[in-house]
Amino acid sequence: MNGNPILETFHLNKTYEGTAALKDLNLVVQPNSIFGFLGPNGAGKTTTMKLLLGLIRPTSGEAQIFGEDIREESVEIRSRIGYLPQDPRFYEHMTARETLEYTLRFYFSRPQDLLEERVQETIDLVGLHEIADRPIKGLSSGERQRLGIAQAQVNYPDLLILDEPAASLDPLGRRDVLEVMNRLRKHATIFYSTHILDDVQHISDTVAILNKGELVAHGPIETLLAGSGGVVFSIDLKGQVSTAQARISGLPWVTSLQSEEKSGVTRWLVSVSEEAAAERDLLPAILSGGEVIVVDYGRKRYELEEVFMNIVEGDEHARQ
Amino acid sequence: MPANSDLTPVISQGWTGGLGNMLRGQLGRWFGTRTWWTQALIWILVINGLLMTILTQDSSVGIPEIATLFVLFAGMFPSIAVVIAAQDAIVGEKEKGTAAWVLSKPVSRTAFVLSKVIGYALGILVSLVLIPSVLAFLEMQLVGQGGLELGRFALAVGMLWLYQCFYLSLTLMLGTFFSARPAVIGIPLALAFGQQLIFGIVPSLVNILPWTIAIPFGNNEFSIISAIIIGRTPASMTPFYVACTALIVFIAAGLWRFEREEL
Repeated sequence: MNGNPILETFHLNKTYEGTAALKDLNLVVQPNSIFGFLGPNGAGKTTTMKLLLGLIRPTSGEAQIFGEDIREESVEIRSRIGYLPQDPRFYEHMTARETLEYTLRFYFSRPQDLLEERVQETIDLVGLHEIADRPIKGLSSGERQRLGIAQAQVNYPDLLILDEPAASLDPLGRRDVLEVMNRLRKHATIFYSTHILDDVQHISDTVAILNKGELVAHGPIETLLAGSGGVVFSIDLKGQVSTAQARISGLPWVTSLQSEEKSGVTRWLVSVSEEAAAERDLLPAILSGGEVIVVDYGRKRYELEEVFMNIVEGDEHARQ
Repeated sequence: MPANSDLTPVISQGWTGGLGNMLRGQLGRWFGTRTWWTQALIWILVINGLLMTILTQDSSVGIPEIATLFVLFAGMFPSIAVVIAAQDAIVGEKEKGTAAWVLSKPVSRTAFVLSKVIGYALGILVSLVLIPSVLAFLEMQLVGQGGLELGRFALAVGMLWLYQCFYLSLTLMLGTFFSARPAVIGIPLALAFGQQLIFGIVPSLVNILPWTIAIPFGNNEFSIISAIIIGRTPASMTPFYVACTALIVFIAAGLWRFEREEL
């Protein structure tokens, strides 16, 4: 990552009638990153996005986008942002093409031929060419979502804020959206929320997890996927594992060993306190007795869903 | 594939940010759709149709009477249409989420409200005031055989427009304060038609509230605007000045409130 943060929040809080929707949020989004913003329903994701866009006011705290204060320079900041709301709504009397031209004219005034060219190119990008000249009131929710993505990026923004961009889309539409996001990362920073953890794992480089208005995890996706419970090795074995298990459990740098058998294969999850010692000695120690065959061996890699559930559920338990 | 550097950027600064495009969109809603001509047609039928019916049935009607009737019809009835047309302008956008969408663009909240005020005011001017008034002028010229003075009539038309803008600004302001339509539509209509009741309780308000701008009341034979058309001195100009002041106050209050709206 490079340069100054595109987006930074400092102890951002939002309270609705005494109920905290967002508590002390501190976020940093680096330029040209795809930042996945995760959390269960009601976690405060949409509230955060609305605060950043000036649609609602923070109860306390500050935020900066492009180094400028979101309250003082909101219009100026929004001239460099594209936003897709969770449930995109447009003027029903306009067509998709008119909506895109109307949107583009908030940013650029002329020349007309190039504005039209930009609109057409955006229509093609999101696959709306067949319905571009139909009134919006006749569009399906998936088509509206595509139009939402189109209007969010028609001005080639420096920062895209997307609230559930893949919602309402079929698998093909979802794939297209991810492709568009991947393509845009060269020119823009993308800050987006989603429930589809698989997508986040594929395209995000940084992730924040919000639960009940509080930030419970924030960092590069690789760090999150590596897990927070120390170094864990995953080993699949065949043979008489009990002797080997006793031997490995007795090693001084092994902190725990979980064993699970499935279809004739035993899987061990070995947590270690000394990574270097484990990398050097664990596999030889397993094989030293000759009673087992190792069929798979490696560092355990968590799925994002697992990490997400661990963090959110851990946070819930901590609150109780 | 045009790059951003090939396009001329809109300079969005302060409260004017996005005003031009918002206004263009707002005017497109009125003049780019059938709204402008259907509204014009309705009010031609109501205002000019009623005038023509009276003129053809009673040949003794003179300019003072027909001017009074014109101002009565053109003042009272379209104000209902103004309230009904404008009641959805802000509440509807808040409810549907289009206000939040537009305000995620480089648009100031002041520009959002002003585009509604200016857009509706111009639509009302053309469809509800100007077109029926031009036809009424011709009708009255026929009756008075050219006895109407154009300058006074034009002034009266301008005052009629401001009278309608009084109700427009009140409705738009209420749209910034309330999320429910009944209040936004009910309060202006109650004011429009409840003033006679108020005068019964506090008679001195006759010379303050806007009712007498377009409708004669009590001892006054002519409303303020009809008196101007026929070259008489109005009994009191205070209601007109009060309406103009209220119009500005309503717009200012609407701007103040919408600045604090959570979308």
